[in-house]
Amino acid sequence: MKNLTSFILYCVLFPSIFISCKKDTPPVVTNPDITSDHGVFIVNEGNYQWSNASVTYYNFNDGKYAEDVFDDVNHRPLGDVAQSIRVIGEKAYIVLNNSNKIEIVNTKTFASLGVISGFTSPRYLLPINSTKAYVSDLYSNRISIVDLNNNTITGSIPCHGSSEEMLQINSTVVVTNTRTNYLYLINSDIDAIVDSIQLGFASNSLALDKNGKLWVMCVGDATNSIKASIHRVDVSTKTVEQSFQLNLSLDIWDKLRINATKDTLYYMCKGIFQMPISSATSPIATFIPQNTKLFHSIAINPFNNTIFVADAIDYVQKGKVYYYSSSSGALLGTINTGVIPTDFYFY
Amino acid sequence: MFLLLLCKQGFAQHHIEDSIHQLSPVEVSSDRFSHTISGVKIEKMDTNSLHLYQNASLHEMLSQRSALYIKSNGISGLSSVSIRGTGTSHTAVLWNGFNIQNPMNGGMDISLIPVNFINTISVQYNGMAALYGSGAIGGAIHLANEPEFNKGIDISLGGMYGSFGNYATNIKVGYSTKNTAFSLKAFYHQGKNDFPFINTAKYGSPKAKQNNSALWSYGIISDNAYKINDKNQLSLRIWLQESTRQLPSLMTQEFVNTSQYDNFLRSALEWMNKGRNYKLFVRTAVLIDTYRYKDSDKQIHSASGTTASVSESEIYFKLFPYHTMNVGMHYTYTFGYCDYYAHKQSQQEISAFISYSASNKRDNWRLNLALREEYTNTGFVPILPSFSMDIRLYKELFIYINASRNYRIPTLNDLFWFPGGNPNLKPENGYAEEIGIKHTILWDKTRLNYSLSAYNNNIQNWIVWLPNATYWSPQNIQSVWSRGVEASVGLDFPISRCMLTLNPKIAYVKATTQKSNNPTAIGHQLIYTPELTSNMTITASYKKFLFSFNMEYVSTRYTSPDNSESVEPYLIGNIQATKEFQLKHISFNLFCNLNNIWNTTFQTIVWQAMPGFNFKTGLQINFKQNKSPKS
Repeated sequence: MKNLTSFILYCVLFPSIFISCKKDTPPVVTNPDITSDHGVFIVNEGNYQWSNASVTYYNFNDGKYAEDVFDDVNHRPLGDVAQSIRVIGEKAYIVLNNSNKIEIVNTKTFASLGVISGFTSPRYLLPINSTKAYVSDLYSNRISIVDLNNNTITGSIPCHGSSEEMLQINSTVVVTNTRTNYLYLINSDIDAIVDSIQLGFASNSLALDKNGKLWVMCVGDATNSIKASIHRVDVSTKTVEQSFQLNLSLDIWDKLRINATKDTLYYMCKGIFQMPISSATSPIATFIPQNTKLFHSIAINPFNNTIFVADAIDYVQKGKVYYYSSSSGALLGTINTGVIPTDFYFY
Repeated sequence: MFLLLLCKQGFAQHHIEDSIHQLSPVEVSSDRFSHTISGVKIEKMDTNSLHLYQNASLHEMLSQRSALYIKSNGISGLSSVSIRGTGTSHTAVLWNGFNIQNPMNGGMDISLIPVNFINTISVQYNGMAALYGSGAIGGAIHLANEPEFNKGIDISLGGMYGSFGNYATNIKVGYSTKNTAFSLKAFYHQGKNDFPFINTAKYGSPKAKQNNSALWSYGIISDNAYKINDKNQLSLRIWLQESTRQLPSLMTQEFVNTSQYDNFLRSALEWMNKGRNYKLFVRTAVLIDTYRYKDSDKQIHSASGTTASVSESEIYFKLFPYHTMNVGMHYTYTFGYCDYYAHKQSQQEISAFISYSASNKRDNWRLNLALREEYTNTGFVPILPSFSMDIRLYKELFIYINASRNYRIPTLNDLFWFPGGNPNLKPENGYAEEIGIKHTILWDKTRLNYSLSAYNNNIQNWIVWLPNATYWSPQNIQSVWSRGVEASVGLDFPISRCMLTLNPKIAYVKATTQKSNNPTAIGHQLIYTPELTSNMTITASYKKFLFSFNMEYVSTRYTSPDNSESVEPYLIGNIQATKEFQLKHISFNLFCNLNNIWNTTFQTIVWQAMPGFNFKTGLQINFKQNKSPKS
């Protein structure tokens, strides 16, 4: 009977034995020194419904690196599907599309400062002045107006849904829209759409050149054989001055970016294309070919013009960012990132 | 107790097989599972478990009573089972022999199976696809409704109230005579499931309530059998169920507005004809599934559905004493529609199978050899053999071995999704081997069973969806090697007038990616596959009081293919108790299930909150009148 009792005791206790031999979690990366002078934050989307969005930090001067700096500092996940980052003063606003929220962190410490919530499917935040910002939204038929002092949504501007990148020129805010042929103009003094400019179908990205002209990328619609296009727009006269049809393939063309001197455009469709603003035609050859990589996004470092290209690899494994010389297209370096690197902030 | 079960089951099968040889007139079991199985590990849910979980879903029962890992999207969400490191699509779920896995994605949501709708629930490890067909790579869950004759009137009515606004009611009407068996069961269940939790994924870790997690569900099942004469029996089964579930938000989401609607109708007709040396079955089933998914915020409304028509005929005949042959043909025609298919799509599977079972007079060994050949839309599946054997080493100590080639044909989504579906996909296939022992020792009224097993499973052509230009497309690209060991013990012993049962179980699995497009995954454990799962159940019965305490442990699960991200392990305790009062022909059964008694915070899917302590309580009233004593 004594044996039996000890046997029972053993049986009762045995699952707890395994609790104590669980694997230790990997050591937490020491907080990177974010105050150093030159670095980049790379926003990684993560996978839909996996809550594995992250921000990768890399310092060019001392090589300090953290793959997931938000979690390292705040000990919680950033959220589900990060879309973009915007810095206003010492605060970084990270827009989390499928978490319906914007996380605010201190750019020096990456400590969480608060959350703005109540969006449907937020995409980009555009500061209008020191207290007000607009947030575009993929599914909602409104652009949210955010109060930056108390982190609340104070109002909204009705629009035709699927608003994407935005850009401010004086008191005019230009809004792209991936569901129509129009670029919408908001008067930021009265928070209302006051006009629109017809160009290609499904505008998604914007750049302002050194002459004050606006460049707009329209993705088209591959399933209905509508080709992608690039347009140069004079916002003051609301006229489309020049249009380029992108005839190379019916595919996703996006991420129109401009260099630091604001005279050369970059955009991507599998490979990266480079196009001076003075060019009469759009380039036929890629400046940086994609080869076996899966290019997902680009950005130009405004401090030295290097071209940062995000490789999502297969959308499952952790991605990489390659940076290239803007003069020769030569590869200068690689940064390991989280899953699906997508947006950048350089400082 | 079900540990033992494993062993007990072995013996039960011996009895069944014996009865085949003798062709006893009371033997009515009709699926291939109970006829041919030997040399395979089986976990059969015992009657105590079926009784204690009569108001629960198969999800709740298997997660608490087996060492299987079940992944669930929240309290009422979709739940999928994983056997020995394989996925839900590698676990065939056979309802009276018919595979009810979803033809569109190969999955099976076991939270939609009410325990009290099924009379016999068994988990079979390792595929044995030669016997059970496509999908049985890791194993199979067998759900059987065998008719019971000569039981008279059996009526029961029950009501359940539980935490987080859960209410359920059920009714059963059964009537059987010597030649006819009729049974009708129905349930209705609704729940708000707005359980509280601390949201550690949010700024400031606020107290939160799970939102968008409600459930409405009802179902009807009818099992009927009629003995035309001594040689012929007909049975008809119909199972209809409808559920609407909100799909709960993740802890990282502010809110969601998504819901899923599932509706199915399963009907099966079977004719059995038997003679002195043979038994013939002709069976057919129609399985109709309808799904709708809605996301109000994103304006997504998608509808899809499938209809499968399954026909099978097979014969068992005695070659000479202790040698039985089984030959059969199987045909499945499935068609499906979906907003993401170019048009309605169909798939056909034709297969022929043959198996040979033998034992000796003293039952010192028992073996089964089987072969299956299958033809599908994409051509012939390589021939599938299986071999399994039990050998008695000493008294009730058996060694068992099995080896099989297993496969899974691509699903409708794999083949026809637009854009990206790949009509040239090959079936996934693999080889599985297992060796184990099972032993039963009896001392007076104490009974000890234990079993140990070690297995190996290599799967090739595992289908993975990969990005390709602007859309995703499935490819036969991955190889997985799964191997592990399992042990279980069952001990039944009396302490004065109280009967005690102890069932510890433990399973260790290493399931690694061997070949993949993703080099960072190679050599690493598959995601959501815990290396260690363990269960411990203590059941005490005293007179009409039944009490059970149970613990489930699940080790770390990796959530990224390179194993850099993971979810914490957890240990959960649960209690079930019932007390029966008898008043003439009427019995009153009070039950109470306490789940997660230590209020453990845990996740089965990363950042999907799960409820802390919760309960279910209710009353089941049963009226039984035996029309005539059993002859």
